[in-house]
Amino acid sequence: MIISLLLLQNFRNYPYLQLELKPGVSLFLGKNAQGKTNLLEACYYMSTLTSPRAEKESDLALWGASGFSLQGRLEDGSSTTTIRIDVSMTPSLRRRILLNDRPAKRQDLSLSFPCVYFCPDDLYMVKGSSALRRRFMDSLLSREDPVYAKDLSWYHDTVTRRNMALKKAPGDSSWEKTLETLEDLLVDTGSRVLSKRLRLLRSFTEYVKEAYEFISGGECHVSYNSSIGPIDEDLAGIRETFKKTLEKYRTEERLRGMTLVGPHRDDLAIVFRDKTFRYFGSQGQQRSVVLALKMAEARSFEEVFHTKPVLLLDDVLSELDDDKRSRVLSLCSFGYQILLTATDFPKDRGPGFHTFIVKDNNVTPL
Amino acid sequence: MGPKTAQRLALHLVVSGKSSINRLISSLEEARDQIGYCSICGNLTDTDPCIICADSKRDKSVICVVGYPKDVLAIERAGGYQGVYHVLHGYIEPLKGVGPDDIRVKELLGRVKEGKGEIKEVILATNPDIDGETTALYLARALKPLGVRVTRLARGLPFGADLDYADEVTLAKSLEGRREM
Repeated sequence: MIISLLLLQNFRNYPYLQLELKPGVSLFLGKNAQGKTNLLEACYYMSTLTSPRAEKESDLALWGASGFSLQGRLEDGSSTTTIRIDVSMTPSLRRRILLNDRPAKRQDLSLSFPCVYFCPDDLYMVKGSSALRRRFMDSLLSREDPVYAKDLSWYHDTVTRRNMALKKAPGDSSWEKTLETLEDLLVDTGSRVLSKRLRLLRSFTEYVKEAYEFISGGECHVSYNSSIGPIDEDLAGIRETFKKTLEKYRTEERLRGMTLVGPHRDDLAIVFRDKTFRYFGSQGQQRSVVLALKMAEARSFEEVFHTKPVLLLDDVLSELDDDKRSRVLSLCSFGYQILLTATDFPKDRGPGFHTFIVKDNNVTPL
Repeated sequence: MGPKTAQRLALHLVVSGKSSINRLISSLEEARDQIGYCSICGNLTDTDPCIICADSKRDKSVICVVGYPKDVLAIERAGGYQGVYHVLHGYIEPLKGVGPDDIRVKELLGRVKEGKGEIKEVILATNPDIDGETTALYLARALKPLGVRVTRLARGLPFGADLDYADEVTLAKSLEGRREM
């Protein structure tokens, strides 16, 4: 699918902006702090109601404005969808979502306008702690499956409650019984989360492998590292393993007052010739891996939503060598629309390459 | 109550006559002095036992367990329920340090035990959120060994709703809780 029209009102540095977009690559070229990223951010917000960099909505509104509005026209084959999101901040935060002029819900957005966002900070997904890799998996799955999002938030809520009960339980029989109850809830929701993560990994592993090979010609493998021990997708099996592992950690968990095993402690292991990327990959290899993860995310969305997501690449080309850069840009020949920000012209601009100059709150086609 | 409603009420009070303010004061005093808890179900009442527990037409073999007195009002408004209640006055909320001993769990278990088989069913009507669920699960574990039937309010599609307008989460839960026809 492609976004063919983008309209911003009071969003970031744009009081009003209307932009016609075409299939292929749209390059937003400009100096720093001109508002290039804001355009990609607007698209991402329309897809997820979150921003990749702002914590709260008030950061997204034009300075002094009490709200903002975003509109988009999406085309997928012969069908056209319009999205409109009005956000007002006073007296309290209110969002109105319209799909084809009819009220819609948050979860309808990722279905109508799937997006993959990639920025230089995503490198930490490989270099940084396991929490970032979990967040990547969770964000992907939550957008594909609202039930997963609900299960995950229940799971996290259960963990915090259980941690509290773990601190109170020693020597108190009624808290000990509460702990047993919370353990049932933990195992129940946690197992559902685990089963869905593993089901995702089944196809995702292959996507990452193919994407990495496409970008760098090398080999890379991702796998799920479960803190409760080896498991497969079978829900009943996961439950049993989860229970047994909790039993094993019984004393230590009570001693430390913390839930020590479960999906909130798991990791996505990225392995390159039997070595973990985090410690052994070069900067270039690590970049390729993040790119491969993002391409795999796009493939996964395509599988679930039956349309190619829009790729939002924020200032990532500058960090890649020529070869990898042209591979990334060649993705548009597979039918992906790419919105791209950069400070310099990339060398190899193929057909279907549209450049816009971003300067002084204005975006003009070149 | 929001600040605007509060302001409107306050303004209404200051301009209304002495007699109506006095009536309000005496109603408040009456509420303070006469309303207490029912010694059986724990609901708010001005007689002990409350009118529901004292009603000979109500089915004493079924107890509906709720979190707060307002939930009794909600179920009574719905009509159709002929059993009696048990008000917990809270849920198990580990984050607030509220455990089973801090709400009226012991009283419920005592009621069922003392009923000596007279109580056939306990309906758990706690909120479908995480603390409500924890409380329901805790009670189910404690009640089952007493040989009583334990049931939980159904979750799922609202009555009169359109299937294709239901959100995915509700629909998934409804499928999980489907029943034989």
